Amino acid sequence: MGANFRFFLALCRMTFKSASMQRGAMLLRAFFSVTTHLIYIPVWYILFQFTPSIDGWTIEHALYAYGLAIACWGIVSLLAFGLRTLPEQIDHGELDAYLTLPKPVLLSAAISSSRNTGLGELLFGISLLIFCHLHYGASIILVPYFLLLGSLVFASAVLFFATFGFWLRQFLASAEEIYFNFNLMASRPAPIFTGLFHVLSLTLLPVGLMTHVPVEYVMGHRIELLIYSSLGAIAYAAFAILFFHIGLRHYESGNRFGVRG
Amino acid sequence: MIKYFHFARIAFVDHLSNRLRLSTRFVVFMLLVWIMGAMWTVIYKTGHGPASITSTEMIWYMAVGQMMFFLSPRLFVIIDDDVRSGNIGYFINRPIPYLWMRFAEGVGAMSGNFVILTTLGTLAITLYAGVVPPCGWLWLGIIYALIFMSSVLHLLIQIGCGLSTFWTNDAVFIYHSYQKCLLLLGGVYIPLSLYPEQFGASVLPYLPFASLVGNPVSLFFSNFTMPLLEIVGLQFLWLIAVVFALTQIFKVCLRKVEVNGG
Repeated sequence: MGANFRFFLALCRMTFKSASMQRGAMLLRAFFSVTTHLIYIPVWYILFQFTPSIDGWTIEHALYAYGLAIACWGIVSLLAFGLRTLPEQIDHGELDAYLTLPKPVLLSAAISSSRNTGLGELLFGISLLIFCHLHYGASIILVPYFLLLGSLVFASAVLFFATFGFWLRQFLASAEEIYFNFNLMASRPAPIFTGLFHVLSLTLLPVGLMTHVPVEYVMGHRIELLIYSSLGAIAYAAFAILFFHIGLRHYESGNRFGVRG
Repeated sequence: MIKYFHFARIAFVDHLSNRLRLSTRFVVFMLLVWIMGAMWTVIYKTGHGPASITSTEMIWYMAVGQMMFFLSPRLFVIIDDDVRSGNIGYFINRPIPYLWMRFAEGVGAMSGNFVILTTLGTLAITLYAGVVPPCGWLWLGIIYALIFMSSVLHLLIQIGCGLSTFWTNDAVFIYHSYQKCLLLLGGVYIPLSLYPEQFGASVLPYLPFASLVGNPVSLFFSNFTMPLLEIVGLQFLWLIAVVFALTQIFKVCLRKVEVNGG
């Protein structure tokens, strides 16, 4: 366990080092990333101009949820971008190299690459949360924990959907669409998720655990919500990992024709 | 022109044969329709919905507005890949302009999505909204025709984002910037008529973003004032402008193509 953790840290260090080699490109992408998300903020202001709240959710909660969702997206892109490209790695037989290593395949595949726009997303998300604290007085004491929880949920969701790539060929484009919209849903107000969709938002598509529960906690300081969501996140992560290992048994190696030079 | 038709036809058949991609896209589309619809339903239930627009009109507006995004394939990813892998070097030697070959493929795939989303999508939206489109079937047909044109414009802009790879080495973040501008200035989540004046509500309908979503889909509203001819005219104007810009940009790109080895 300890050795795996050290391996995880070493991989993170190397991946980040490699991503930050192109400093100019990294900064440019971070700048664009921040600008892109800044453009989106006025949408919420316009919406909340003619409705004071969406069943209890105000602009403060919307921005808080958006900040968390974007920061989690940034963390996963920076540290575990390989999870997102898993369907492609499966299609190209790239897991072969990891299968021969003594370390866990999932760890190697997940942390094998990084996307440097993640830095801008992470910084933007954190800045938005700090803005919510300064402007609306929203508590940010537990933000590190929320980010850890949210990133775990998001990474698990990405892993769960990416794992379908073991059974379905050329699944990357569909998977990317699912990841993007999963994150989009996480930034939508919790009260709109009712009935079956409320159940879905806490189980198969756990956007509720990623942003809604932390925001509910900030609104009402109900500690039991946080405990349930933490347990839910761990259970979902375990389920996603188990699902990956089931999928791995169906992996048919890099037997496609090709020339590598 | 026949060669473009065949590229489009092959892309159309290929797109329809990938049932997984189609069904995933459809499910995600309906999820987003449901989310946007649910948000506006809550707003209307709490009595804060805009008086000039009914709840049903708003649901249809949101649904068809989302449809525009789901019609076109992610063409910028293909161009980004061509540029980064160097494959573009092989394509530009062929006796067909690369740009319009990819465009024809995009239109073919888009037509596949169009067939699915305007049939199954209309059925699903009607079931979700509980009523047929308030503007009537004829106007729905006109709106769909306009949305098809919007998607063509969207494809062309995607090609522009894809070509940015020559300078940025990654088209994704350029596309995301464009997408967020479209969400804000195109009236995807909130109809442009509800924007306050400080956001330039009187200017926004004349920008390309409004021609993509806001203007055509606003025909669902009974009190929408922009005439149909003006909406069509604006769409054509922006189409011509984008085609011209793309042609010029591609000329610059061709000077930057470098292929090493063989």
